Amino acid sequence: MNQELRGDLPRTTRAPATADDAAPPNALPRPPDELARLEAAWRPPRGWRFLSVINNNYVGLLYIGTALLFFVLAGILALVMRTQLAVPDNDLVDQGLYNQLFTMHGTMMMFLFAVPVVEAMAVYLIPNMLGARDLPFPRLSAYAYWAYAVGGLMFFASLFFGLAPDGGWFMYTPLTSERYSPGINADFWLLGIGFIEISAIAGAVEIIVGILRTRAPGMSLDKLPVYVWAMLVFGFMVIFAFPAVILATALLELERAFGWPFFSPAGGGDPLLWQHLFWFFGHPEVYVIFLPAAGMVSMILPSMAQTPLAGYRLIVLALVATGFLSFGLWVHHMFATGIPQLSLGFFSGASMAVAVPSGIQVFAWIATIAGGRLRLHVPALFILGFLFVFTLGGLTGVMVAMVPFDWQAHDTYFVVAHLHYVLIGGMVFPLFAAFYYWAPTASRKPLSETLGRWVFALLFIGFNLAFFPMHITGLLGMPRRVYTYHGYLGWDWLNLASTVGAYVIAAGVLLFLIDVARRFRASGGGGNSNPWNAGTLEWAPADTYGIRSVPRVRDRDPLWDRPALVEEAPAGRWYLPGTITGMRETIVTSPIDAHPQHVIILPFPSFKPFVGAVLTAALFLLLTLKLVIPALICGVLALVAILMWLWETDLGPTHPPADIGGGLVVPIYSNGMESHSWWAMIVLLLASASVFASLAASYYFLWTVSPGVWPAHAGHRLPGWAWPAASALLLAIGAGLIGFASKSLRHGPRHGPWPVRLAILAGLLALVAAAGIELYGHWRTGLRPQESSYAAVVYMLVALQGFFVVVTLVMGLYTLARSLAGLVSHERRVTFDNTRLMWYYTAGQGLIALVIAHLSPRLLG
Amino acid sequence: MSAQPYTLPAFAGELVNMVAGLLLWAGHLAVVYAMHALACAHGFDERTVLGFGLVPFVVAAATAVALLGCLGVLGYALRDLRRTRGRDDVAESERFLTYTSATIAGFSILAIVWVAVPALIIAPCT
Repeated sequence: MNQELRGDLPRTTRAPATADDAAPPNALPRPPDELARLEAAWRPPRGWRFLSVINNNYVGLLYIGTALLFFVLAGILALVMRTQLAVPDNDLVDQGLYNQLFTMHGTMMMFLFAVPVVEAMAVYLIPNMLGARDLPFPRLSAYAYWAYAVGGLMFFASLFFGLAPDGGWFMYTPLTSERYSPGINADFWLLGIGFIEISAIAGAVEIIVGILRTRAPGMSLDKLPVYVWAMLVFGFMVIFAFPAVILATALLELERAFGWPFFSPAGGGDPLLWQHLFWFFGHPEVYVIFLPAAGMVSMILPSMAQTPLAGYRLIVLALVATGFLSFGLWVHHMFATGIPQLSLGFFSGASMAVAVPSGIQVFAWIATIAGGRLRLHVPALFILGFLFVFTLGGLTGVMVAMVPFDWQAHDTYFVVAHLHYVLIGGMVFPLFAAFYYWAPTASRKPLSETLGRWVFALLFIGFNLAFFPMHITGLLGMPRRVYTYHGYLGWDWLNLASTVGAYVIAAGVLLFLIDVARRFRASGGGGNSNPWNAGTLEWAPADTYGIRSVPRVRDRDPLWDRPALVEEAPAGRWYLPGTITGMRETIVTSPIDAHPQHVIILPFPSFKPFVGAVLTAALFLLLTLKLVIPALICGVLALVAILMWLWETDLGPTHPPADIGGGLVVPIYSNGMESHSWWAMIVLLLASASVFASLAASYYFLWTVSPGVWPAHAGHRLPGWAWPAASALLLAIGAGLIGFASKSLRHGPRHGPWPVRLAILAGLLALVAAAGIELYGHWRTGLRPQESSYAAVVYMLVALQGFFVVVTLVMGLYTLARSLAGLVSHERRVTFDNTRLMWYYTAGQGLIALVIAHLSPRLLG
Repeated sequence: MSAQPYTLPAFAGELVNMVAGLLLWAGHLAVVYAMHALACAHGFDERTVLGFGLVPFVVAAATAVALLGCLGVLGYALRDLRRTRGRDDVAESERFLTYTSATIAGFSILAIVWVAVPALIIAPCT
C-alpha cells in the first residue's frame, strides 16, 4: 500500500515498513492449482456429515450459538423468579421449585454460558488473530464442544423431571449431603458439572498450545494482540483453578454414594473443606470470565477510536497480575464462616490489591479513548456501558472486600446486586460489543446498527432498573434465595422495579436474537470486509482455511502497519500459500519470537469426536441415574471412539522438509520437546498436578481440623514400612523401564522393536502392582474409607493414583498396539513420548502420595 | 533463514522469570496463611520467638524474604533494561519480557506488603 493511504491510517507502534525488511517472500503469479488444492483440503462436510466438522470457524460458531441458547434458557428461569418476586406473598411457584430455579439459573449462567462462551469466542477468534489455519487439535475442540452441548442439554432437561439440583449454585455442604439432599438432584449437579469442567480444561489446553505455538511468523510475545494475552492467562487459570472443583465434586459424590466422610463432622470431616475447594475454583472463575471480556474491550476500543491501545505493556502486567492474585482471594467468599480475623485480614488485603491491576486496565481504556476519536458505533456503546456498570460493580466489590461491611451485607440482595454488576457489566456488555464488532468476520452481512442501538438501550436501562434497587433491598435486609416476602417489610416497590427491569432486559435480548435471525448468515470463514478499519489479522480477507498466506508480522496492528496485506495475503504472496501435503496444515512457530519451526498436518473431519462426546455424556448421565452397567458400557465405547480418532493422528515424517515461502525450508513433522503434542501433554499434566495438589491440601486441612481421627490419636495401625517401600520400588522400576524403552527406541533399527515393547509391558505390570500393593497395604490393616475423614482421604489418595495408573495403562497398551502395527519408530515417536510423559508423572505422583500417606501420619501424629 | 528450535524448558524459564514477583507473592501468602491456620488449630499461637509472638515473627520473616526476592528480581531486570537500551542486537521481545518482569516485581512488592500489614495490627487466632 502506498504512503498516501498510510497517511489516513491510525499511527502504529513502530516505524513504517521498508522494502528490505517486509517484502513478501512469494512472487506472483502463483501456481494455477495452488488455491484449488488448499480449498479442497479445507472443504467443510455438507448435509448430515456436518456433525463431523472440526474446523474452528464452524465449531466456534456452533459453540457460541449453544452458549447463547443456555444464556436464554437461564434468563427465562430468571424471569420466572422475578415474576414470583414482583409482588409480596406471591404463590406462582412454590419454595421447592424456586430452589431449583435459582440453582439452575446460577449454575447455567456460570458453567453453561459464561465460561463456555468465552472459550467459544476464543475457538473462533484466536486462530484468525494469530494467522493460524486452525487450532492445533481441532478434533479435541469438536469433542469439547459436543461434550458440552450434549451434557449441558441433559443437565437442563433435569428441570422437567423435578430432578434439577436445588442446593444453590455453590452447592454447600451439609445442605447437599445425602442426609439433607436425598435423591439424585444434587448428583446431577456433581456429575454434570464435573463433566462439563473437564470439557473446559480440554478447551484450555487447546487454547494455550495454540497461542504459544501457532502464531504468524514474527508475532513475538510483545506483538501479541491483548485479547490473546488475556486468553493465555485464562487458559492457565482454567488449568489451575478448575481441578479444585473437579476434585470437590468427586469427594462429595463419594460421600453421598459410599459414605466417605470428607465433609461430615461426625466422621472427622468438615463442611468448610467444600467451601475452600469450591472457592479456590470459584473466585478465579470470576476472572476467568472477566479477563477475556477485558481482552475483547482492549481489541475493540482501538478500532472504535482509531488509535493504538494505550499502555499495552501495563495492560499485559495487569492481566497476568490479576490472574495470579485471583488465586489468593478465595477466602473473601468465606468471611462469615468463623475463620480467625488475621486470616481474613490477609485475604482482605489481597482482595484490595487486585483493584490495582483492574484500575490499570480501566485507565488505559480511558486513555485510549482520549488519545483517539471514539466513533459511537454499537460496539463502542456497549463498551461505554461496560465501563459504567463494571466500575460500579468494582466499587461495591471494594465494599464487600472489607470484612465488617461484608458481615452486614452477607447473603443479602446487596451481594446479588454486586455480583450481577460485576458479571453482567464485566462480561455480558463486552460480549455484546464483541458480537456486534466481530460479526462481519463470520457473517456475510453485519448486524444492524439501528437495532443494535435499541438492544444497547434496552439492556443498559433494563439492567440498571433491575439490579440497582437490589443494593437497597439488600441493605434493607432482604436475604438471597427467599421465594417470597411479606408486604409490610417495605421491599415490595423495589422488587417490582427489579422485575420490570428484568423484562426490559429480556426485550433487549429478544431484539438481539431477531437481529441475528434477520441478518446473520455464516460465511464459513473469515469475512472479506473490515468495516471498522481494524488493525489485527482476523480482519484480513480469509476463507474456511483462514488467511490464504500467513504474513510476517512486525507490529501489534499488522493491517495498519502494512495495509497491502489485504491484497498480498489472499494472493498467496506470504508463507504457506497452499497445502504442501494435500492435507490440512498450519505453521508452528517458537513460543517467544515466533520463528517458524515446522509445519504440522492437522486432522481431517471425523465423526469420532462427536460419537465419543455423546458416549461420554451418556456415561455421566447413566452414572447419575445409578445405571452402572450401561454407564460402563458407554464409557468403554467412548474410549474406543477416542482411541480410533487418535489412531489416525501422529502420521510421522511422511513428507520431506518443504519450502513455505521465500526459501524458508522447514520440516513437516517434529518429535520431542518441539512437538506441539509434547506441549499439550505438559499442560494437561499441570492440570493433573493441580488435582493432586488439591487433594494433598485437603489431607492436611482435614488433619488440622480433626487430628483426633488420625492414627496416633485414634490408635489405628499403619501399614508397615515394607508396603510403601515395595510400592515405591515398583514405581521406580516402572519409570526406569519406560526410560529404557525411550533410549532403546532412539537407537532405532539396531535392536528392533521388541526391547521397547517388552519394557512397556513389564513397566505397566510394575505400575499396576505398585498401586495394588498400596491399596492392599491399607486394606489389610482393617482401615475402611467409611470410618473417618482420615481413612476416606487416604483411600482417595489411593483412588486418584489408581485412576492415573489406569490412564497410563490405556496409553501404554495403545502405544504397544501402535508399535505392533509398525506405527512407532525412532522417527515417529510422538505417541510414545506422550505415554512416557504421563508415565513419569504417574510414577512421581505415586511417590509423593506414598510420602503423604505413610510419612505424614508418623511425623504429624 | 533456518528454523530455530525453542524447547519447553527454555520457554518455562523465561516465563518463570517474567512472573517471579507474583510467584513470591503466592509463596508468601501460602506461608503466612498456612502458618496462621496451623498455629490456631494446634494452639501454639501463644509461643514466642526472640520475644516476638510466633505468628507475627513468621509473617515478618516470610515478608522479608519475599520482599528481598522481589527487590532482587526488580534490580536484575532494571540492570538488564539499562544494559540493553538502544541496542539493535537485542530483540524487542526480550526487552518486553524484562520490562514485564520488572513491573510485575514492583507490583508484587505492593501486594506482599498489603497482605503482611494485617499481621502487625490484628492479634492471631481471634
